[in-house]
Order: sequence, then structure tokens, then C-alpha cells
Amino acid sequence: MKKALLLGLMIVLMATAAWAAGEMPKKGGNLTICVADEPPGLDPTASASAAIDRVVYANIFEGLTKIDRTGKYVPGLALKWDISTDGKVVTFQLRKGVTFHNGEPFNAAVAKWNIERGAAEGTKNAHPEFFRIIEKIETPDDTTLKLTLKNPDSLFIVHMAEGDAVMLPMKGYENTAAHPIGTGPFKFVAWNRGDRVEMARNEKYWNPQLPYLDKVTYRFIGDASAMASALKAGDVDIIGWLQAPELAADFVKDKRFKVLSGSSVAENIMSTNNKVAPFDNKLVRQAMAHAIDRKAVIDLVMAGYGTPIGSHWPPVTPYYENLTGKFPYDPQKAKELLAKAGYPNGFEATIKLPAIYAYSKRAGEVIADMLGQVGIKLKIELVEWGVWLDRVFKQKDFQLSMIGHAEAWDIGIYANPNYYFQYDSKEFRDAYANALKATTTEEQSKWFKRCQEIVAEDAVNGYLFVIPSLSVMKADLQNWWKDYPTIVLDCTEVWWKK
Amino acid sequence: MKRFFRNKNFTCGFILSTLVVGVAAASLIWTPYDGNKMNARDRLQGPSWTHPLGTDQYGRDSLSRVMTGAMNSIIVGLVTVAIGLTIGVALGLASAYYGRFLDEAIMRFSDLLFGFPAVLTAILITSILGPSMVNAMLAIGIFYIPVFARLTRAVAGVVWEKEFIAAARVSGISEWSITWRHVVPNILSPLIIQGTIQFAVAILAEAGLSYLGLGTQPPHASWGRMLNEAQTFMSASPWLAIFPGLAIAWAVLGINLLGDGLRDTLDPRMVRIR
Repeated sequence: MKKALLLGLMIVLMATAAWAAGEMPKKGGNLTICVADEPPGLDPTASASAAIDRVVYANIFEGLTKIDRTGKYVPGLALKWDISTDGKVVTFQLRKGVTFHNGEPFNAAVAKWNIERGAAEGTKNAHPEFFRIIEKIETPDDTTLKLTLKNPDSLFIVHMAEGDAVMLPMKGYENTAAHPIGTGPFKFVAWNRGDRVEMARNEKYWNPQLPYLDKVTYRFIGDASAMASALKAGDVDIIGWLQAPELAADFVKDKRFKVLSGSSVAENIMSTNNKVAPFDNKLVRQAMAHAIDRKAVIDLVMAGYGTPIGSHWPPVTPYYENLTGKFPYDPQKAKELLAKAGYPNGFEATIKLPAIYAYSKRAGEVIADMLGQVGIKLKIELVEWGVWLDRVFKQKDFQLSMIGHAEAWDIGIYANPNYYFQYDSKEFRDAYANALKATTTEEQSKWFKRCQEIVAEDAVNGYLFVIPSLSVMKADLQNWWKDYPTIVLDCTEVWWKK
Repeated sequence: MKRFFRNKNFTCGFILSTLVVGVAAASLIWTPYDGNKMNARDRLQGPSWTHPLGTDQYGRDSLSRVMTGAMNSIIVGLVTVAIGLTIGVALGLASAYYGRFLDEAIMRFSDLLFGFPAVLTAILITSILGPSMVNAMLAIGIFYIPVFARLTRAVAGVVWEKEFIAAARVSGISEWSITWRHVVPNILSPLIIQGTIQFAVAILAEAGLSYLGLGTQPPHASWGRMLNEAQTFMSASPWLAIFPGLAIAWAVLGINLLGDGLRDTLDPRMVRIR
């Protein structure tokens, strides 16, 4: 009898599990997404602004390759790609039957035109180097695009998935900034400046199953508290990226909402000017690394959300190596290293914080407190964003600062000795060059990990945490991305359960 | 002194302001905790016996911060009124004494300053000079100059016409001495009244500038900054906004009542100048 009962229970359980797993996405419904920054235009190929990608990338525009929700590189408008053994020839097989929203067909000739446009002299593209590495473009037929690179570049496929490399139509591209036309699952409808961007389902999308939603609206609300009230009042369905994590606590308790907390690719670092004393001394930088309690920083600054990092590499990106144990929190050790570096009584320094970012302001205050405990007295200076870009980023006139580096795969900035934190290491440059040259996954993994280790060992900057990809939404909304492995808010596979 | 306390406004205002001054003075020698000391374990605690006003997002004790914030506000009030008084009174006296061209020039200059919206211009000044408490005080103080200059000119002008001034002149006292010994003492009471009112306005203005991030800089405590930082924590931890808000209301109300009481007692006929 007991056995029969157990069996019966198991059947019931399995049936429930099967039903839960087999719940099919439903078509229909509208979605209103709330984001903080309104984009300056809607052309991702003409500006580095992340606000543009958050609205149009993967929704209106697609590139040859694409990054999926787990951080893997998957086919976009290219079905597959082959890379020759020397890593120099990349052959894309393009999708058949893809058309732009205005009816223009997408084919190899269009792809070639887009690449040439990005590489052209005087291009507005923020990353022309993505395309300038291509030596020769061949289009043997409508669906084959054969690219020959000047030298092997293991990040080429990665770059083709960036917003800078999306495909625009050859005829309807001129007005992209105001009226974008792409191949994506949603068509642009209207942009009501200062308020919202509207888009509607693309009935002719190359994947007939997608998208599920009829209409997507992006609303721009700058203030985090106002965002939270808008969600509670039902004016918006989801906050795409909640930048004030302390507001999440309220929604976690509320059954009408759910909170997804994943990882983004934005590393928040205490940028350190490696060319000015005393920060040109590696021992001083390592001492600072020992003086920082990352767990406490995350608790105090991000209400406990956020992932600690030990190097300039987010955990959602392939080849991640956990280096958070390299310099464990140890104020005593920090003092010893400072004494060894010739500063037994510490020293005074200034940290310049960009005032527009709450996380950087707060992290700056917390770090000032922690460094103060080992004798490094920090003076806090809040600066406007424009001033920060000019003084800190361009003129390198700073000692310490605090900023999130939002781009994916950006460890290459350490290979540039003129980048604002002025890190100059031949060892790193060689390792990075090897990583780019590597043609196998094993080789790439080895060298990209080596890059992470070198910057961690040199304690180039203070590696604090990856900014969480916090999204808060109505409980019935399904399939939203938990992690943001690139700068994107992709609505393609999102659906409503009711 | 007794006649002051017969006035209800004065008594209320005196009690409220004395408390603020007392708390501020106390903060110089003692606060329950170090107001700038962070403590991850104690973050965002509600009011309790250990932390009467709760703790903020960094685990800092709010009572200690409200106390040091009081000192901050009082310094701002004193310094801005001092800037306005010294320069404004000097200009006003000169204007009343010399008349003619100088008078015109000073008064038109005052009109010019009055023409600017004070707080907006203070924002402009602090964003040019860079945000700091000193620059905020400068920006507010500059706008107090015409207030005191106008008032001084008006009342000093009346005093110069009085007969005892003529008597003093006849007895051969120098014009300087007349100004110091006879004119200034006779215009003191309206200046004191105006001073207290401006003191309260300065506390509000500094709180406003700090709220916008243009006043007192972190980690130092200022009531306006505390309000700013409390903003996103409002729904979960309301005490973070309530107590600094109450402190501002308390101090401004107290000093305003004190000013009203002084006016009623010292100069019942004086028309309120704002």
C-alpha cells in the first residue's frame, strides 16, 4: 500500500513538473519598460552611448552574431561562421529570406556595404577598428560573406555582436537616428522625445515564432524613486535596470512583483593613476587592495546586490577566472605593505567622484572610510560628468577615481599606456597580443586568464564589484534576461503569463 | 530682558533656537558615536535605544550626524550674515552719508543683485567655483549685501536728520565719531531683527544647495545632504529623511520666531522688510 502511495505521489509530482516545464509562451500583450537615460539618437552605429543599445539593440537591429542571455556567442543574421586555421579568414553563412522593416532584402552585398561604412574614413562609428582589421571582403554568392583579416583577432566575432556592428538597410539608412529601420523582431513606431520610444511586432520576422509581444514601449524616467512609484502605480511593467538597489527590498516583499538580480558586464573599479606618486608604487596599490573589504562595500553601496571581482573581467563573460582571493581583506597586511613602500604613517590623497552616478559616489565614500583605517586619508571631490570626462579621462589629472566600465571584453584598455589610468606593462601587452592571436579556445582561455592575472597581481586599479543587473517587474512577466552579458535589454523572447 | 520674555513669539523662538545652539555646541565636544564612522553590520537600523534616530545606509549614527549638522548650519548662518552685515552696513552708511552719485551707484547695484533670483544664482556661483561649504556660504552671503545695505541706508538716513546729530555736529565731534557713536547704535535694532531673519533663510538656502550636492561635501554631515541621501531610502527607512527634515524645520521656525519676537519688542512700528 505504502509503495503504491509513493508511486502515486511520484506520478503526480512528475506530471506537475512536466506541466510546469511544458508551459508554452503565449503571444500577445504590450510591455512598457522603464529606463533612466533617454538615448541621444537611435543609431547605434553612430555613437558610443549605451542608452541607444539598451533601446534598439536586438529589438530593432541585429548584427551578424549575437550574444545570448548566458553570455555565449550565437548566430544572429549569420547562421554560422567558419574561421580558418590561421585565424585570418572568417566565412559567414547568412540567413536566407531576411528583410528589413522597409521591405529591402538583407544579403551579402548589404553586409559588405555595412562593414565598409563602418571602416570608412570619417565614419561616425565609435569603433571603426572593429572593421578596419578586415583586409578583404568577398561575396561569392548572396548568402556567403568571406572576410580576410589583416591579422588574427579572437575578439572579431565578439565585436560583430556589438551594437556598433548592426546591419542597416542600404536605402533606408539615412534617417536612422530619428527613424531606425532594421531586421529585428520589433519595428520602430514613434519616438516622443523626452518621454518614450514605441515599437510594434515585426510580422515578417525571420523567426515566425518570435516575438511574443505585440507592442513594446520604452519610457524614460531619470529618477530612481519616480521609477519605483511608476511601477507600483502600474504605469510601467518593468524597470529594466534599477540603479538604486536599495529600492529592490520593497519589491522583494511584494507578491505582485518579482526581482531578478544577475550580473552585468560593468566592473566598478577604483581607478588609480599609475603614473603619479605614490600610486606608481605597486606596493601601495597592493596595500590598498588589502585594505578594501569587498563584501562590506557591496553591502554598503549596493544593498548587498553585486558580485565581487578580483580583476577587470566580469563573471558572465567566458574565460572568467576568480581572483577575488588574491588580496584578501587584511588591514594589518595593508599597513605592513605601506610601511615597506615607505609610508609607515600613510599619506593623503584626493579621490574624484563623478557626481551623476550614485553607486560611484557611495563607493567613494565607503572606500575613503576603509582606506582611512590604514592611514590613507582621502579627500572626496565630487565633479560634474563633463568635468570628469575632461579632467580625469582626457587630461589624466587625478589620483584616484571611481567608475563603472560598462563595455564587455574591455580588458584591452590595459594594453594602452595612454588610457586614463596610465598602466604601462610590456608583460600585459604581450599576453593580450597572444590572446588576440590565439585561434583555439584553449589558447584564448589561457591568455585571457593570464591577462586577468597580470592586472590583478599589479593591482592596477581597485577591483570592487560588478554592478548587478537588477530588474524589477510585474510577477506575470516571463523570460526576461537575468544577467546582462552585454549592453542590451532584449524583449524578443519575453511573454505575459496572463 | 524681562520685556522680551513677555512676548510669546520670542519665548518660543528663544527656547527652540537655544536647543539648536546647545546641540551644536555639544557636538563639538561629544556625540554619541563618530558621525563619519561606517559600520556595515549596523546599516539602516530604525530608531532604538542604541541609535535614537536610527542609522543610515553606511551604518552611521543619525543622531550624531544631525548634531554635527546643527553646527554646520549655525556656522553657515553666522558667516553669511557676517558677510552681509559688514559689507552691507558699510555700503548703506556710505550711501546715507554721501548721498548723490555714490548713493545712486550703490542703490542701483543693490537693485541689480535683487534682480537675480538668489538661490538660482547661488547655484550658478557654486557650480563655477566648485561645490564646497565655503563657496556655498560665499554665494549666499553675497546676496545678503543689498539686503543690509538698503536697510542701513533707510534707517541711517532718518537718524542723520535727527536733532541730536545736529547737536553733536555743533559740539565739534568728527563725522566718523558721530557715525560710530550716534548713528550705528540707533540703527542696531532693525539690523539685529533683519540678521535673525537672514540667519534662518541662510540655513534653508544651505540645506537646499547641499541637497543639490553643491554645498557641504561628503563625508561631512549637513542636513540638506542627509535629506538628499535619504531620498531613495524613503519608503523602507523613512527615519533617514524625517529627522534631518525636522531639524531644518525646528531651527528655521525657532530663529524666525525669535526674529519676530525681537521685532515686536524692539521696534513695534518697523515694517517687516524681506
